[in-house]
Amino acid sequence: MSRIDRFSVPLLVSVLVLGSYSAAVTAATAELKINQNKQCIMCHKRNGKMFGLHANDALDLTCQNCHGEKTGHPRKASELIGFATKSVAKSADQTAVCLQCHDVETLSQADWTHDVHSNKVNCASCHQLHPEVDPIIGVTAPERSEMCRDCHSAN
Amino acid sequence: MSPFHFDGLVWHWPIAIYLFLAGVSAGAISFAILLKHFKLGKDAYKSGFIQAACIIAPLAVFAGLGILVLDLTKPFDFWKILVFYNSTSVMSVGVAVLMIYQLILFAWLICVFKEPVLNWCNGRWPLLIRLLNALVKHEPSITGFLAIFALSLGAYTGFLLSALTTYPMLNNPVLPLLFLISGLSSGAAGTLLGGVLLKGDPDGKEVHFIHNIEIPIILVEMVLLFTFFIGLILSGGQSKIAAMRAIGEGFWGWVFWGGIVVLGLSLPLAFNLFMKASSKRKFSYVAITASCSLIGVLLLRNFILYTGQMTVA
Amino acid sequence: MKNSRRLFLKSACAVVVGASGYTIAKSSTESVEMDGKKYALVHDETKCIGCDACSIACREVNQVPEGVSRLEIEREGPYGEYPEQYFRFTRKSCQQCEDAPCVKVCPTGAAYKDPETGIVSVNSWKCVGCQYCIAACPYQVRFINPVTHAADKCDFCKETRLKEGRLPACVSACPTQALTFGDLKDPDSNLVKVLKTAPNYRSKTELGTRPKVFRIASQEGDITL
Repeated sequence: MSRIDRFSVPLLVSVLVLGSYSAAVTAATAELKINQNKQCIMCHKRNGKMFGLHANDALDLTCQNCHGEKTGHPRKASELIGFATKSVAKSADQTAVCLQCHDVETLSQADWTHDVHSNKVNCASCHQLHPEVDPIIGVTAPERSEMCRDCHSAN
Repeated sequence: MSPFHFDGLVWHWPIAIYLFLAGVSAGAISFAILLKHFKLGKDAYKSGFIQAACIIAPLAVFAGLGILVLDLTKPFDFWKILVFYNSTSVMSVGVAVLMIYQLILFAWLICVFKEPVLNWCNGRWPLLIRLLNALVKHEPSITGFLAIFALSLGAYTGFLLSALTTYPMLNNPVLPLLFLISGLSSGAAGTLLGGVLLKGDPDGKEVHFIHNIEIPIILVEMVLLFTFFIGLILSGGQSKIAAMRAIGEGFWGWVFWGGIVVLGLSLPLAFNLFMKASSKRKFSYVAITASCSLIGVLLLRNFILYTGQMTVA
Repeated sequence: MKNSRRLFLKSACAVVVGASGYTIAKSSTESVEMDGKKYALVHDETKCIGCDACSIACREVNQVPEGVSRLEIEREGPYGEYPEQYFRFTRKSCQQCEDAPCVKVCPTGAAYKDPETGIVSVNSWKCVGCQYCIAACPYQVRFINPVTHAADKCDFCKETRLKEGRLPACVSACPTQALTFGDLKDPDSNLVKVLKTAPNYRSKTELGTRPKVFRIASQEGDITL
């Protein structure tokens, strides 16, 4: 609960602030703080930009918070982690990153399927954080059922 | 859990009102028959109490049926219940009983009021008079059938609910008897209240007669209510849960103990015993006692209907 | 006079008691079915994943309005500790009772068992909406259709898919083949084979309803007493 408050209060405030000053400070808000991260964006201009909820300035997240430190990347070994089915990182490792902030209880309340998938598939199988809206949000019941069928199929 | 809205609730208060009115009708006419047969004889129609019973019985059954029809999701299709028949359905049998009951009820009313009706005809319409006389000749049979159908109607209100295996509290063999007896007592109360309102003598022989029957009826009702719930509790399982939920807690618990046991049964019993002992019967005594009984029975119908549907097998 | 009346009353009582006794007795000894089919369904709860594909397909095929449903998958759980958690899924729909309470109580015969298929069905024209069947169904699966104002429930897609010679919508929609539909009287049917190989149960058999929806119990989760 406290974790939600910690995020939601500044988030709400920032939305209000952004809303009221939008006209005056368009130039400033055009570039979210997270996307000014030179270390990453220099190369990942196309595929690295972050527009989703997690990019919000009030959250004060950096690319490194989720993807890890650059260290030797791109030439040498690094601790970097990618989030997708094709990622070399193990599902459990990917999930562990999300669980740093999101606790199991809240996830369970948000949707029961979290309970039975968290140790079997990675979060990115259903969620995408970079686009403005996570495509899983507002998914219709038939679409959702279709997603179940994509993996669970007797044939 | 809200007392009037919960999961599994199918039938609402209009059904309880209907069950109440059918019981009142059957009870009132039973007492009218008894009064006429044992006390009043040919002059029965002059008594305010007989008049009251004869007004209440048809009005209550009409009002009940009206409520029942309006409560259908397709009120304009109600005639299909009369046309199509299912012998295994308690409701279907009950509808048949209700129809025949109403026919016989009117035949009997004509027999009781034959003198005023004949006077009113005053020699006109000879065909009508001949029909009346033919009908009156069969009064004993009509009375017998009416008594049987009135009791059937009273019991039917209970069978309607006790046929539901879904709800362990309703699916109970004591329920039809309980509803029959409480229906009779509500009919007695309705007759008394209507009678004194129609300027009947509150200390008359009709009141003495009805009160004498009412005391054992209340006692039997108490025994049946006791058996009903003890039976459920001893059955265990969902029956026990249903009984404890009904009388052991919340809004309906208060209705049961305060409204039914105290107001509906104990107070009328105490008043009746007091009136019998003091042999003083005034308008207010009779009216208050009857009102308590009526309210008690109305509460009982609602209580059984709602709490019965709270627990599923 | 007095004696004849007493005799009359006695005989009238005997007639009433006899007639009602006969009706009830007749209803309990059901006549032999004609040589039609006897459709039934198995829900393998061990295969069910709770995806709701069945209930979505049902709504679409049978034009079930929003707010009511013929078929729902009920979820129980989670059992166990994170991340090893399980749910149990049970099917809530008409149980197609052999001895159906809804059919017994319906005053107009709008609720009936189709002699050809053994499927408990609703004649929505005959239904007056007294809701006696809704109260009488111990599985609580009947509802008033807000469009027709008649009682409604699952009929194994008798009026839609079965008419086209296809399987019920839920059965063909299920991605994990948790549903098996077939004729109980046909010993070679998949249904009978499944029922003979897997231990199964039915809901509320103690009420004497003899339901034709069989369930293969989920093995996950806690033992409940």
